[in-house]
Amino acid sequence: MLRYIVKRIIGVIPTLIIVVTFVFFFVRMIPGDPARLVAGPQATLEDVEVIREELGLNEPIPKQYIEYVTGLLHGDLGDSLRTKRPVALEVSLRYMNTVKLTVFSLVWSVIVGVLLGVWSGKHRSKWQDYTGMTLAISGISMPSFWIGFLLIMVFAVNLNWFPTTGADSWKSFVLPGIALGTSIAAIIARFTRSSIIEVMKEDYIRTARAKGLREKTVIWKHAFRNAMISVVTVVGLQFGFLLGGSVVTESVFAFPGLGSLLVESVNYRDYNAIQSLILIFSLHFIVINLVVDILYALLNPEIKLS
Amino acid sequence: MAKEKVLTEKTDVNTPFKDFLRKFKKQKTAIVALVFIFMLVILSFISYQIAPYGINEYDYNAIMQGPSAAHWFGTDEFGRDLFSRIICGTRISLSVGLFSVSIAAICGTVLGLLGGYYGGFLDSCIMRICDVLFAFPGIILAIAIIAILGSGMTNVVIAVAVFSTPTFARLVRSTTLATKGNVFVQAAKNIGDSDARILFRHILPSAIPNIIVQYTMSIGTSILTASSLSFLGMGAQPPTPEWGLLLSNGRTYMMTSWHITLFPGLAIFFTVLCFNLLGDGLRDALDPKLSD
Amino acid sequence: MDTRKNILEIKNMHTYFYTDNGVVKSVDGVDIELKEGSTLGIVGESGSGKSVTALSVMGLLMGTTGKVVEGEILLDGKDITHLSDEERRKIRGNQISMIFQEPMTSLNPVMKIGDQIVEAIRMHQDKSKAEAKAMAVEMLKKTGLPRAERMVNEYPFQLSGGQRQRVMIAMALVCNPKILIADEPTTALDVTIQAQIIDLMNHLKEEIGTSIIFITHDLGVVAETCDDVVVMYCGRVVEKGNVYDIFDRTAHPYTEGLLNSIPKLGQHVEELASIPGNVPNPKYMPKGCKFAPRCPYATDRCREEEPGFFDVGDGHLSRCWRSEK
Repeated sequence: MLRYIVKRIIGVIPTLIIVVTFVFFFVRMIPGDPARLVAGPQATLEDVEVIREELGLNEPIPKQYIEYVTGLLHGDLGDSLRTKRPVALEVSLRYMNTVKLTVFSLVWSVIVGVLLGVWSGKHRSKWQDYTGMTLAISGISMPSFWIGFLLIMVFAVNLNWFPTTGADSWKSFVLPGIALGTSIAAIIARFTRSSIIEVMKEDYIRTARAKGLREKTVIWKHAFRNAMISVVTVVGLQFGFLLGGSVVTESVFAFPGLGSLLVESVNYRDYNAIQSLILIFSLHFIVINLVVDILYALLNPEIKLS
Repeated sequence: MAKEKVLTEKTDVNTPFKDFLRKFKKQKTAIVALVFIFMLVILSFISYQIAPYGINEYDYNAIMQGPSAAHWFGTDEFGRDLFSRIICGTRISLSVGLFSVSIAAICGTVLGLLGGYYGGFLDSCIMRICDVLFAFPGIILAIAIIAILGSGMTNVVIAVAVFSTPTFARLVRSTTLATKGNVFVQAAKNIGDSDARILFRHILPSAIPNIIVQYTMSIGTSILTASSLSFLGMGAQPPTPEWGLLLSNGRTYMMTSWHITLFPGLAIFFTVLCFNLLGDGLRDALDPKLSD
Repeated sequence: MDTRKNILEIKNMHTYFYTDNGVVKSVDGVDIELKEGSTLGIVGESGSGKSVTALSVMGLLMGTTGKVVEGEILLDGKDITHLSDEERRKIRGNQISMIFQEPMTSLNPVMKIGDQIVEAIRMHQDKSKAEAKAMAVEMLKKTGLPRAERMVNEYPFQLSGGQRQRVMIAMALVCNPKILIADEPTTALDVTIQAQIIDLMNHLKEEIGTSIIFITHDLGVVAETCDDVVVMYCGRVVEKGNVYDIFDRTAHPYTEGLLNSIPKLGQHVEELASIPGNVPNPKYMPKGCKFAPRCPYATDRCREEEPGFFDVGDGHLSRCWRSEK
């Protein structure tokens, strides 16, 4: 088991290096002169030179790269071109908001998605299945920002139950969390259903039934855990979807998180912030998938014991 | 008598395509979805002719009116007819979906075929690139690409195409790996067929069903992503009647005029739903595991 | 004449599957009797309906489109076809148990061996976890598994195929069922392991007092283990009788074909005699005798009219016009 984990961790290192390199070249891939672009059309030549200095673009590329990586290792993400404050500070101010929002969304969507999927799967081709799968396919077809607006209109404007914006109390997380988690819940439900249906065809399910177990036990004790092994991998991928979705949802709710910071940074062409945020999002995605791999092993005795 | 039996069974043996048609015909919802998609495609061609108002026809006497007989979906802050704008937006969303996914499908298929067939260093390179692209959540990657290329629909198409490509590459690669060892591929090799011929005549056809399903499903996702990007102000620019942009526009007036956000959202929802339902139906009809 | 009572009686059972392409009559009017304490062999090629018969008796058709549409299944004289799902469930694993062909996939890969046996015990008997675990170890020992105490804490992937089949047998017999249905329990195993498993079943049958239905396509196994034999073809019983009648006074051409397809030891065979053709597709069932298209003796009458049963002596029945007297 330990060997498996170590192997997995070593396995992501090349991806990490390539991602960091990609993000490094990101600013340098902007067509034309990035310093000029950042400075804006009215800037004087001196201004542009100052910005070039700020971006460290006047150094040779390998030196820039080494400085960039060294900075990263020290938690230095450079300064925001928009606020002139360190990007690390901007990020730290909003980081926990996004973490809370995505974790809340993931938790409820996994619970609802799995339950809906099992419910549909065990009543295959009956009304429960059709209801569940109609809900699920609607969920994956709705734009999350639209769901957000509908929620705001009903629960914030008309009923006045929740605030429309901000991240001040737990109430602020409810509507964005629902908007963000809906499509994930739907995807997980669809996947759980097909996974349950596959597993229910297995020989060991027939054995469990031949023992005279209750159908409930057959599903929750025998089918569920086996089905979850494959569902877990999907949940990992969905987490990336969730991080991406947070960009849109946070904009809808003017939620002070990393996603809305990214949108603001793109609008202000704050390349330092953009590259740091893209790096942060993908690092989280990589780490989550690593965690999922390990979880997968824990569910699967064959890997766990080897 | 016995001979007759054999004959009946023989005529029962279907070609894969006939078999697929027979199964697809049973997917009633998917057929309905397909019909709607056809109607949307036709609409995207004729929308400018049939729209009751011009997409930029301002009417300051009728700003932000709710749905009525004159304006089915109401009007926006400039008195423009929302219904006309939405049906004219069909062309934008459908073409973004089709273009970006077609580019992704072609690039991904070629990469997958090459990687799977030749293996070795080429394969490792392709798969490594896919891994890295997969390491970025889809829309984040799209935003990164747009941050480099600048906003606009063309760049949205490129961005969506880039993040959809690895899915196709992996899909085709795994089928290629599975098909490569088949007897008919070996036989083709032995009679001296060229690699290109083997790849496109022998291996590609077995990957086609999976590609079709993935293609259909990806169109839904790409329409959603493109409208999200427009919503964020990174895609279509005003006064284009792009659905995501219409919605984004409506948020300012959300408190008073609910219809400006409701109808564009419904349009996106309906279109994406059709593609997803079609994709589901195709998958079920093409999946050998589900035949019972 | 054997006077032991019938522990299980299947009367005119029909099991149909409702597929998209029409009704498949997998079992079409089958009568089978199992005498208490005896072993009954059900023989036939794949697709003959022997496994569906077993699943129908177990009530394990859920999750399929299959249904017992007609007939009775009498367990110890009581019809169980009309019982509720809940009552049927209480019979399963307790009064009638079953083991399957594929030991490699028949155990839950993510559950410990012990837990899988314990849950069968605790389902039907009021036992504490510790008692049930002790019973499980005891039972595993009876099946000849070494290191049973350790094995209860292991997962199926740590066991060989033969060991897993022993675990399956232990699991099936741990509640002392009246009937054990073994559906090709040895087919997936190596030849040497096959013999061990058959010995084990014969031995445990005596010790526990279970009656066994042995489903197989291997007549060699039948000769070794069974008291009575039922030969099935296309969802029907074509011949039945005690094992001596079937082997020594074979009446049905299909049984004859099956017997001829066993290579005999010490006999130089030029060519392995076997039955020409295949089991007909259930969608295109022949009109008369279902075996007529493959039968070397088939006449026009066979192709037009389906024979009933003819008694060829002492309850030895054959569904063939040639057995008519």
